[in-house]
Amino acid sequence: MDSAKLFGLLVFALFLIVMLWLNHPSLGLNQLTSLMGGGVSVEPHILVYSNKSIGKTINLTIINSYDFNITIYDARGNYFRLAKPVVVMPGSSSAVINVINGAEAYQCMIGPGCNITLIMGFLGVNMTETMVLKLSG
Amino acid sequence: MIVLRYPLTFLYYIDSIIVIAASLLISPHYWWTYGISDLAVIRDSPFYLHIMLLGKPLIISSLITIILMGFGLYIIAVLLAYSYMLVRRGEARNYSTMFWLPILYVLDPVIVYLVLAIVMPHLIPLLGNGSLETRLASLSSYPLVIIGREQYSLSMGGGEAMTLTIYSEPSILYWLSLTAPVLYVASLIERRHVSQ
Repeated sequence: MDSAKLFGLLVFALFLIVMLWLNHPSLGLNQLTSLMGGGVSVEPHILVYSNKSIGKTINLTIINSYDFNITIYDARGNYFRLAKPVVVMPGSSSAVINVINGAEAYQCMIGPGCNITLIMGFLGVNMTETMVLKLSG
Repeated sequence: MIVLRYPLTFLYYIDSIIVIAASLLISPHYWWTYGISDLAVIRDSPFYLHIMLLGKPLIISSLITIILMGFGLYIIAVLLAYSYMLVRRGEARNYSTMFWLPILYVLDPVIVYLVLAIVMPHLIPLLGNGSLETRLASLSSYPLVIIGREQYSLSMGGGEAMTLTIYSEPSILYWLSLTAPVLYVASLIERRHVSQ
């Protein structure tokens, strides 16, 4: 090793000591594990009438346990339309879905179940998720 | 006035010092930026690292940046000492680090690709529902982007699909850093020529 590289190492060591002493940087390992936990869950609230129909709207409770906002742009299905786009902040929020034909939606929901596709966006990612709405019992 | 025996070698030293100093001092600091939408964004140079994961800057990347900055200062110190030896004693030392760093940084997107291809299954939210097979199947279509941006659609089964934008772009500092390898080759030729 020549004297120039020795000089370089000295500069490197001095810089590290000064910076670590001044900044007290942390490893942030807790942050790594906390970022990975999180998720989205959707819970429908369906109002059922005795005349074999369902309410004009379905409320979706959306629980967002991530640290970032999720936008619901659209919901599509044969009998469903999203009333208006919703931004779900960290925490929970509800989205209103208009039911186009309550009687037919009821028929399909007591049978095989109705598909509803949610179109969401977060952090520049577009995502669609199809779920089945079904009435049990 | 001292007449330099190795003007191109001297120029290589000075250019390398300027490149490192610019990378350390001038924002945006990074040579390459690589991102999967905003899920994971990596901005790096040999002397700087900034990682955003799920929209949050990673604390650990600032610690790594301090070490990388120290590495940059090490190279500057060595090159200053070599410049001094060259000017005062006429000795030209071979120092290829600033030849290799910019050249090897073409591999940066490839390395990031490999890292993310392994880490990505854990990054994508809601992917946890899918089975292992679906995860592996979706990764086989994950595109390798060297320069530019590409859309990438992922279907995960269970009625889920997502569209991501993958981008990889060098910054102006990277193009500046490529002057060092050019001058290094010139200095090699010069030293061979002078010693004969």
